[in-house]
Amino acid sequence: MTSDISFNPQGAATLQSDNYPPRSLSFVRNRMLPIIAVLLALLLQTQIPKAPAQPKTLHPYFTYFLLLALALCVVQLTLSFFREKTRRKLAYKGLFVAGVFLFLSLLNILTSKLALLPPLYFPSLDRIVAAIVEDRALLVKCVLYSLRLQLVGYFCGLLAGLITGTLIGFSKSASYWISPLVRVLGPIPSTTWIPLTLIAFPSALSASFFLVALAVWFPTTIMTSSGISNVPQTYFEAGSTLGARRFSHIFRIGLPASMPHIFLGIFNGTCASFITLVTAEMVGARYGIGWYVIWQKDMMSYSNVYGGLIITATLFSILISLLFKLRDKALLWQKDVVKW
Amino acid sequence: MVNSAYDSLNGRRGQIELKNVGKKYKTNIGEVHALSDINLTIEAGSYVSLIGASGCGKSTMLRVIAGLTPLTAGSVTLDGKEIDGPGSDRGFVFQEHALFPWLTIRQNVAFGLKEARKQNANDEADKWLEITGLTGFGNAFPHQLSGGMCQRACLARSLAMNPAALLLDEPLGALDAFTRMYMQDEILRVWENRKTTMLMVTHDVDEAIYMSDCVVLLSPRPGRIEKTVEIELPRPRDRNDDRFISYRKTILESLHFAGFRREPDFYI
Ligand SMILES: Nc1ncnc2c1ncn2[C@@H]1O[C@H](COP(=O)(O)OP(=O)(O)OP(=O)(O)O)[C@@H](O)[C@H]1O
Ligand SMILES: [Mg+2]
Repeated sequence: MTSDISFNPQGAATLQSDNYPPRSLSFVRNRMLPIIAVLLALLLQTQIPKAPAQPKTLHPYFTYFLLLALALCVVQLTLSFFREKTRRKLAYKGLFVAGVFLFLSLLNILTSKLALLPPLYFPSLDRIVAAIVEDRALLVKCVLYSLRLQLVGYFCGLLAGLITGTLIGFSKSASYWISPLVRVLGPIPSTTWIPLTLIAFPSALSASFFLVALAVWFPTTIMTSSGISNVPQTYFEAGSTLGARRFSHIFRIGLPASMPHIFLGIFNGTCASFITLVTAEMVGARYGIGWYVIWQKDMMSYSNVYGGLIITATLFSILISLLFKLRDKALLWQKDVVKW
Repeated sequence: MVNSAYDSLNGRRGQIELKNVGKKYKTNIGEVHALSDINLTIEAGSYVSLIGASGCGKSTMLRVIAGLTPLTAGSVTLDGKEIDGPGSDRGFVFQEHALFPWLTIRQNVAFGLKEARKQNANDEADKWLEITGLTGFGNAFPHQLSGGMCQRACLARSLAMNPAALLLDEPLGALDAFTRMYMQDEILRVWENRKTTMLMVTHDVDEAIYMSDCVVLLSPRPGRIEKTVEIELPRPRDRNDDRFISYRKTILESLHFAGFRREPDFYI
């Protein structure tokens, strides 16, 4: 092994650079950037006095937030001495995290310290964090309401989409009758149906379930059926010569082979369902994250609006990354074939 | 251990009979007469090769026997029973391996066994992976294997069903010369152990002579049987044997390739 390295000029070069003085510098670059950025943000936050134009908060919440971030950074740094994985992650993500905290500091100075932007629409970070912390009970309730609407509507739409997609993909007569319907109704954004659903459904809640389901249904249907019709005929033929009949053609060949397509459809559907969810809540719901944002806007409480938006973004990105995890598991077989 | 998979040695099954078989495709450029008046009996347990120019209907003939393509005239029987659709009694090895990319190699081989509700499908699959020299690759996905390995997995997948006949459509066409010769011996080894009836399409005259009991020559448009050549050479065969070479000459002449080769005008 060692002799290998001594014969390899590039290997020798890397060995050398490891020993050179930049070592300490690379330690700062690879491990310390987030901590330095957070400390800087803390320094700016505590040392520069607040502009009187911004309303005061009960506690210096943004300082608390930064202290929490500092604690997490210290934990990561400590872990990085023991775990190779953390070390690599820290080296890669550190710069980005530092960038985020520098940006937050800039915002902090613009809003809280100098009040250069109108304080009504651009509350200080202290006030935004305060809104989230002080309104947490209502926010949790709203998140739970939204989650219920999202999950129930989503899974109904997903299931319906998979069923109609499979029917269109495999049955000529289903394709004859359903395809035109899908083609006409599908491209209409599901929020367009809001006026109609408010009359047609007994409650705003059931209307919202329907709208979210509709939003997922269309892309899932389209991508499932197109996935199935794109499965190479030889797979079905190979299956037939191995004794597969119709049931297996659908469930053991057609659907697994179209999984990459289906996941694209599900992904599009998920994004569409988020839009629909928030819009539906803004129109007719009581509670829910979309309702919260609109309600706080009407009350001119912009720090709560921002708080609601931050919670929404966090919630949706958690859901999306769960979906990505699931996809990575289901599409393991093409991991190094297709990336998206 | 390896031989246990051969336990269920089938007696004398796998006789294929084609009677006046004809096949016309209807296409946008008119009717294509792919096969016409084919009469052929393939003895149970024999190794038969189909050879002929591109487009003369070799694949069509194989697909008709597999039941993947309906015929338009005549009849095909397997052990006296008329064929009316695909079934696991006739294995099919496609030119481009056609393994299911979403299944591991083991799952691919076990696919048909599970379809037949066999218990221990995975153990049975492992046995076939061992026979085809793929032990240790059971958990790999097809795209992680070489072309030759995929073709072997395909062979294992078909053979695991214990078919009466195995239909091979240019199974080695995509392989390099060395892998190809190696695979020829692999296939022969399995065949000699099991005596499954083999019907193989190939473009390679040497391959046909090396492997088969009988070579069937097809002539194009419409596909007819031009000639059948029985290869009466002891196995294993020597590609440089005089009689091997004379068989090659006979077949090439029948295909109108012999004697047409022009001598080059100059040598470098
Ligand atoms: N699905 C199809 N539809 C219409 N015509 C077809 C179809 N399949 C094959 N043919 C026609 O039938 C004829 C025989 O085709 P086939 O695929 O059997 O030839 P082949 O001998 O296997 O050729 P190759 O050696 O190139 O594979 C060709 O003229 C082809 O155009
Ligand atoms: Mg062919």
